[in-house]
Amino acid sequence: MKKAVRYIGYTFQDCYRAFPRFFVLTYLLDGTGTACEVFVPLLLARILELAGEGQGGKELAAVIGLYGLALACGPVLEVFFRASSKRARVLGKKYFGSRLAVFSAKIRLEALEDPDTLDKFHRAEGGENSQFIFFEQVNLALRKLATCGGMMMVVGRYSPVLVVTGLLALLPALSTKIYFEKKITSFRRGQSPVLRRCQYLRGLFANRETVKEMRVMGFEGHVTQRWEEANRARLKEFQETELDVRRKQVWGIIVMSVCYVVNIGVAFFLMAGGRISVGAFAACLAAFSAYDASIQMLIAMVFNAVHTYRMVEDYYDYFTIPTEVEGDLEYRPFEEKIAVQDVHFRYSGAAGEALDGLTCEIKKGEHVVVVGENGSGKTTFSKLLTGAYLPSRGSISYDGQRTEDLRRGSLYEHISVVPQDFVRYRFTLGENVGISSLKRMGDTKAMEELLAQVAGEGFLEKVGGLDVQLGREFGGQELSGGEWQKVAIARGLWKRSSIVVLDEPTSALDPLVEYEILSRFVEMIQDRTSVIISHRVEICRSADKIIVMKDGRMVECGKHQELLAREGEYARIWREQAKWYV
Amino acid sequence: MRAVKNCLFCLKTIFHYVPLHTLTAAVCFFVPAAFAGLQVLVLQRIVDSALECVEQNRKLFQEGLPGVESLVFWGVFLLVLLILGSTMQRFGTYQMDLVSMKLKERMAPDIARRLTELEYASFEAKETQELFQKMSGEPENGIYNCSMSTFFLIQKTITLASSMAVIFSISPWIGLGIVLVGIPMMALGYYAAGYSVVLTEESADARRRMGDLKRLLTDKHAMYEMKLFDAKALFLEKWERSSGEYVDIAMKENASVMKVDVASRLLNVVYLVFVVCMAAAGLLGGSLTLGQFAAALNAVSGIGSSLHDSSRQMTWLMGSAMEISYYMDFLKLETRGDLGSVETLPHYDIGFENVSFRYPGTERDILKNVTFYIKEGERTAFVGENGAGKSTVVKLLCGLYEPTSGSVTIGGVPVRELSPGLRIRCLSVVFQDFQAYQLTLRENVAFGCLEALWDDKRLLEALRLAGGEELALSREEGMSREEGMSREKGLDRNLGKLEEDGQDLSKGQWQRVAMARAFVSQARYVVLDEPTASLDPLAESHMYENFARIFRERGTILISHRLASARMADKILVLDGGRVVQTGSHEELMAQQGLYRTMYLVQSSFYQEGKDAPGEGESVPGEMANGLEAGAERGRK
Repeated sequence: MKKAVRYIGYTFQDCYRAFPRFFVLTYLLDGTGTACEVFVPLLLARILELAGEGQGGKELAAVIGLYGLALACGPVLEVFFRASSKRARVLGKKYFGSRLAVFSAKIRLEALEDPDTLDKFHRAEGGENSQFIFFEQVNLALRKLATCGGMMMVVGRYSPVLVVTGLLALLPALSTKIYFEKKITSFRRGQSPVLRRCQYLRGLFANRETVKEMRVMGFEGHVTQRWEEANRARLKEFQETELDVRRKQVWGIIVMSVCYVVNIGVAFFLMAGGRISVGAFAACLAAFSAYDASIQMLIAMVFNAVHTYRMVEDYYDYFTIPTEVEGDLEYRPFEEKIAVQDVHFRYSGAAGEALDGLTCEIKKGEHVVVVGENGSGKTTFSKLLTGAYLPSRGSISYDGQRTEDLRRGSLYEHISVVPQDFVRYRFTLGENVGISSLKRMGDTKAMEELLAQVAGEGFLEKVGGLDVQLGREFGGQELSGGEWQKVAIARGLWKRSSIVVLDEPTSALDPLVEYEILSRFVEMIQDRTSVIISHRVEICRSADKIIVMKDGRMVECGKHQELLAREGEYARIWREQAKWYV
Repeated sequence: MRAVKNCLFCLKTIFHYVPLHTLTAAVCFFVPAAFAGLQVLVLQRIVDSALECVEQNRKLFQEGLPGVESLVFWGVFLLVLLILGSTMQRFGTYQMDLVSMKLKERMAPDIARRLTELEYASFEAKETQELFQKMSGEPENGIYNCSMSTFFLIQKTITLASSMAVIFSISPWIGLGIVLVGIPMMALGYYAAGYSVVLTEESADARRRMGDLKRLLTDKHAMYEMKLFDAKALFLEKWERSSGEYVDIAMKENASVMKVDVASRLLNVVYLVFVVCMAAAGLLGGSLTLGQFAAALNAVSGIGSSLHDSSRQMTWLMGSAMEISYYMDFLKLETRGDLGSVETLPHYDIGFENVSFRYPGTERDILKNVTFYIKEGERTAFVGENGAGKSTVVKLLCGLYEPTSGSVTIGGVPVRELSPGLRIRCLSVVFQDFQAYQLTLRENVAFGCLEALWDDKRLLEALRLAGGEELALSREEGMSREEGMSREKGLDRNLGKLEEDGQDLSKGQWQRVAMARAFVSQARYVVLDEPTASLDPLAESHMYENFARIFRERGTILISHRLASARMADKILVLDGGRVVQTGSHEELMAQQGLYRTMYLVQSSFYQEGKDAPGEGESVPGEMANGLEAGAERGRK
């Protein structure tokens, strides 16, 4: 409850920030609009009274004029309102979208490993600009509430009986709505897994990869059967609950319209009995018609706002994800060694430790190769080394400067990476390379040279220049897997850094191409400290040091020949691969 | 025009599937719509007879109310009308709910069936990608929405027409005014609707870019790079640009639509004033009764907002009508031609004769005049660089595509003429991008050969051969209660995240499940289309060992770019640029100067040094057995 109050507070604050003009205008227009609406039946009554008494003349003309004005007021105000509402929607989308984007950039990397984070993001994205909708719904509800009140005042002028019957009409409307909402919400919650299953199975028929397998292996029929079962189960349940609720809802609505009719009937008999004038009756008629419409809208809006609030909540909940924790020490380039001491690391939600007491050291200028089987913690190690992840126990220090104490940005300035899962940005080729060091982005000549070195002379020509958009999604040029990898390596080299980390991709690349790319890369980083995760022997052979990892620990360390001679893990890994080429 | 056609199509479809409920709904919607005019008329009568009644009272000074009968009659009539109107409307909505459900029940299976009857080429064609993405949702909802919108529009039109008729009967002048104002108002409304559609398409690019950037912002790999490269500025700048562009286009749309909207609403205001003046003049001049005056004012304000509503309804309708175009395109797609009827074959040799192939709608020949033969039981490997046409060979062999020229045969019969059942008995394929089905483990494995679905022994054996035996058994000591329960379920446990009790597997574990599919199948040939490509070299080498051992007696077709695996084949075909450039055994090919030798030397050079390493001379079979043990060991972790 407290949270709801807080979030609703945020919503109104943010709405004011995103579209201040609309925010104020809404209340002004709503106020005027409601006043006009309330005046319409009153003026009508007056007209009928005057005309009925046969008193024509100036007063009647004036009242008719006012009546016309009040009627016209609604549509004119609506024009303003709609125009600014559309603007506000756009502004809101930008404002709330930007806040989401800016915050996402601050989230801790570790949090991104958690699938829950992505889930939260998708929900927040779904709730993007729900604030605008919430704001509109709440205001519409308020406005309709005011109209209802106004209409009750109008009929109250003629007879208090009408106020009582009018208010009575509210009760069945509200109670049936609450009853049905509750039922349907609980039903939908119960049905969502069944629904998900149906959608999943159905999706299999339209996905080319699954269709290929289903046809080639011949289990289309089986999946069809499974889907039909699930669909039947889902519809049966739907029929028994939701449809049943809707059927009852028809009765609820009928009760509501009976109430409405009873109200008119009461007014009618008051008139027939001579208690109120004909004009008053006409006014009551108009008032009740407006009242009935407003009540329905009011109730609908209140419930819609409750639904929308859930989205608002999803949106603001996203902002509770932990952001990057920064140290405040400025990094001073290391002269001696990087010391890794008894480092432990566990991914949130994972059962075991990804790093389980890793200890090793890397001297300045050394070329280190890390080898090990899948899941031995190589990639995790590389991410801890760059300071992107922090050890949960133990420490990684650059000449005694521990990564967790450093302002990460100052360390990053000296490190460049080519990650295993490098990113294929749907940007221009120039941006894809230059992103690693934005300040040098303008130096196109150097970039062209670098690309020629990494990817060969013909590459730039083939793509069509640095300003060519990459990725088919935006009508740009699509690169092959090997070409993307070359771009990623150029990206890693574009940044002038004293430390380079390369995590070899295990993609389905052509071995020939891969070999060529890697050997060029190794050549180009001869003068820097480098850590390469690779299985390639010629890289191992030229390494100053090979770190062999197993189960999150270093099991061996040394040069290629020494390790082979030792007959341990390294020799085993090595032989497993080599035997196919003997 | 297209929109009208689509609407008619929707109505036709919906009447076809659910005739009775749709008809009931239509009646319930359209009949009360005519009440609107009637209500105006009744209101006029009430006011007039009430006034008359009051008048007579005043004149006669008598007790009782003469003339009250007609007043009561009209009053009761109005109440009945109101109740009947809203009840029917509600009942109509309920009928539409029923229609929606019946559509899901009757139409959805038809759609699914139709999907299974399509030519496979449609699924891969670039231009139909979006179509299939939409088809994977629930197209029947689109049909339903479009029909609903059409109904509402018709309903509004009837309401308008009936109100207008009454107005005309009260005063032709006021009626004429409505026609004069109404027509341009509607026209403006439709114009605005059409214009918004155009602009929405224009801003699609900006919106897609925003989506792409947001995706990057939650992609852990992208965030890793962004942090290390300090590239936040570029992201945010791009974000600003795209969202700015989006805002600009949206504002432009807003401005233009608003102009139209303002014009149409001002017309409405002008008209209101006109009616009030006319009616007042009529009232004061005595040509209109008070009842007619009140009724006219009441009706007119309703008509103004109806006109507006109907143009908004039109916008909706246009949107939902265009939305279903993809479904109509879907119905036009080609039906598959690979459902042959040949049930028996004299032998099982595979033949590719002068096969050329290009994907439909493309220009490039993927295969150029390829000819080769595979004898039953032979072990064959296809090697070649990425894009050499290896995977296309598999697709043609499976009959997924018709060759552009030449023929692909098994036992001398073109593969597309074989019955699906026979084709499955001939070939079992594990694709590179094998699929992980969020179903039970049993189903996932049995998809390799459905008749083994309830043959636990066979399924477990297949899993064992694939090194995934532990997936059907318990995992570790000291497991929690839930894990204990999943143990009892064994083969019937749910995989994937779809179900709450489902357990998601790692990439490597899924790989084993996919391999188990090949092991459970008893097809004549096992085709492996680089299923190990995403493994690291070490894990791959374990897989090879299993292949070598298990498929010793069966025909194997192996597709790979890692040459080590090709060595165990009896025959190696080297593909380059869509042609078979070399054929022969490993030894034969190594003796030739050619692509194979070059590729092999480069790849083996990765391990050259190993020759000198101690212990390397050990016999390979012994190592293989060890490797298999190690594979199972690793799987258990």
